[in-house]
Order: sequence, then C-alpha cells, then structure tokens
Amino acid sequence: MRQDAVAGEKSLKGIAVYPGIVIGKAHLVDRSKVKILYQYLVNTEHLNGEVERFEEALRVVEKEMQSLKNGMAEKVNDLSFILDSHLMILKDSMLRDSTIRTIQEEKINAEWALKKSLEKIRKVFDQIDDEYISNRISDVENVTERILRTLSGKAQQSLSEIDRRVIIVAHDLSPADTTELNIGKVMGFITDVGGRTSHTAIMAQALEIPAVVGLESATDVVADGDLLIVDGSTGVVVVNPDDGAIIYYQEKKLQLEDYRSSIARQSHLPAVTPTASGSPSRPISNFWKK
Amino acid sequence: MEVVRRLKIRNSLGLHARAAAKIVELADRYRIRTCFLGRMGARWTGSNILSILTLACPKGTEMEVRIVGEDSEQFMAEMDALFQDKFGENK
Repeated sequence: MRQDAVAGEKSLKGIAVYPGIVIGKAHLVDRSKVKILYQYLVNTEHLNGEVERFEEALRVVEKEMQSLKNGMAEKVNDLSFILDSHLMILKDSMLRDSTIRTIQEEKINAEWALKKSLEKIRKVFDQIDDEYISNRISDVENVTERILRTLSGKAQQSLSEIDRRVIIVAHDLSPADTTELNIGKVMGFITDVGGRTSHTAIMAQALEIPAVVGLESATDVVADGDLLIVDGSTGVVVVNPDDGAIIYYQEKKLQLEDYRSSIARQSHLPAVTPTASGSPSRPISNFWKK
Repeated sequence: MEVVRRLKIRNSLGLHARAAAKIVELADRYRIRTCFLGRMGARWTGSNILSILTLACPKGTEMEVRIVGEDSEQFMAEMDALFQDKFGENK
C-alpha cells in the first residue's frame, strides 16, 4: 500500500463494481432536480395551451428515447428493455391521462399536474408488498424527471455528446443516462449513490468499464476537469493525485493488463491440474461421474 | 365478440416489469384498448404497464382476461400462448 500521500490529493472509498484502473479528467454531470412552480390558470385558452404543451413534451421525450434506443450499441441490447418499459410508462394512462385531467379540472400548470400524478402512482406502488415491483417507482421517477426537464426548457445534458475521453462523475445515473454513454469516450464512471445490484453497476459490467458507486460525496469533492484515478478493483478514487500516486497506479494498471493478456494468451490451452505425483492430470467433468 | 378466460401465471418471478411489457406489446399490436386483466376485483386495460404492475401478481395467480373486439379469439390465443410460455422466461 502506498504511504506517501500528500496534501491536495484526496482519496474516496466506495463500492467497486467493475475492475480495472483508469486515470483521466473528470466530467461532472448535473442531474439536480428541476424546480417546480405552482401556477393557477384561469383562462380556458391557457388551459388548452397547457394540455398541448404537456403533449408536446411527451412527444419530444418519446422521440429522444426512441433515438437513444436505436443508437444503442449491440453490447447493451439487453438493456434496451429498460428503455422499452420507459416508453410504455410515458404512454401509460396513470401518467398521461391523469395529468391531462388534472390540468383541466384543477386549472393548474402541466408541471404541477404531472407532479400530482407521480405522487398518486407512488401511493399505489408503496402499498405493494413485492419489493421488486414497488421499486419500479424509480422508473416512473426517471420518466417524470425527463418530462419535467423538457417542460422547463432546461435541456437534458446529453451524455452522448461527450467527445473527449473522460471519467463521468454523477450523483446517480438513470438507465437512460447509462444507455446514452458514448462507450468509446467514457473511460469509467463514479457515482454518489448505488450498490452492487444497481442499474449503474449492471451497466458498468455490461460495458466492461471500470466503475465505483456509492461514494456518497463524489460530486461535492470532485470539480469538473479534476484529474482522477479510479480503481474499480478496490473501490478507491483518488482526486488530484500527486506524481507518486500516478506512478503507483500506472504500474498497477500495467501489471493488471499484463496479467489479463497472459490469461487471454493461455486460454486456448487445455486445462491441466498439477497432481501430487508431478504428472499433470486432465480434469474430468462431473457429468460423467453420475 | 367477447372472450373471457382465466390464465395462470407460471413463471417464478411472477408478473414483473418484463412480463408486463410483453402483455402491453401484444395489446398494442392489436391496437384495441378492450383487453382487460383482472385480479380480485381490480381491472385494468392491457395497454397500461403501470396498471398491470400494480396488480402485483406472483407465480400461481389466476388472472381473468377479457377481450372484446373483432379479433378477440386470435388475440386470446396469443395471450394464452404468452402465459403458457412463461413470458419467454425459462423458469
């Protein structure tokens, strides 16, 4: 273990989800929630406009998700299902029809009406005993957040537009976010929240990108452009490392890569188990022993 | 034309998101909103994924499926096959 850490360098510890070491610049992703204002609309004309604005936002989000899905790398095809279900949630009457009805009946703006629909859906899901199903509310939240962003005109910072090799730093990444990642450009990612079985962890494994989740304060500690070392094997993230740290991790990275390629080179050889007598014995599958 | 049948959920995970999505896909293909899925008095149209999920059906649940419309027989046969096939899952 390295002992010579100096001031200026900070180290964080989280949950390692995919092994490998990457050294690169941080790209901070802002996913702070959109502020929602309450607005009472008296005029019928305004109300109709509000419904139209909501429906337009749904169309925009649908188009975004469709193009995400179409542009998704084959490697992550398994996860295109997540986008499919988000598209279905977008069209679900519990979200769509209920919001339109609330706009018209309570004479309020689309954002507030949508928020009310989400709360209603949350109540229903809270009552479900099955933990897996009740957790699906997070998918509804992701979809709602996307609609709210579109309504507010605050364009979603798209991860697909990243054109430099960077390490993504985010509070959390939604499934839609992770499918947007430009695989060639993203060296690794770290998040404040998440565990071993979170969407982000599954995504890191599918894409084979070193990642550390559950760091709690990564987005507070790391500034955009900071130099980072991410060790996806131990869960350690070093922010603004000194030269000693860079050399140490460069070496560790080379060793790891050497080890991996030596495994790959030998993988065509038959598996051999050394025995006490010194003569190698070939393993026999349990299948034949039945 | 109306067809009603009781279909049993056979996959071990029950009617979770992926399975619900397959029902919605099928219902969307028939483009009619007259497919109802029911359990213990609750009824929802088959084209709403959240509603189907909130029925929270574990393995072994018998659902009442009611389809109204021109192609209801064919629609029901496909729905039946989907349930029989455990929604394409191997457990």
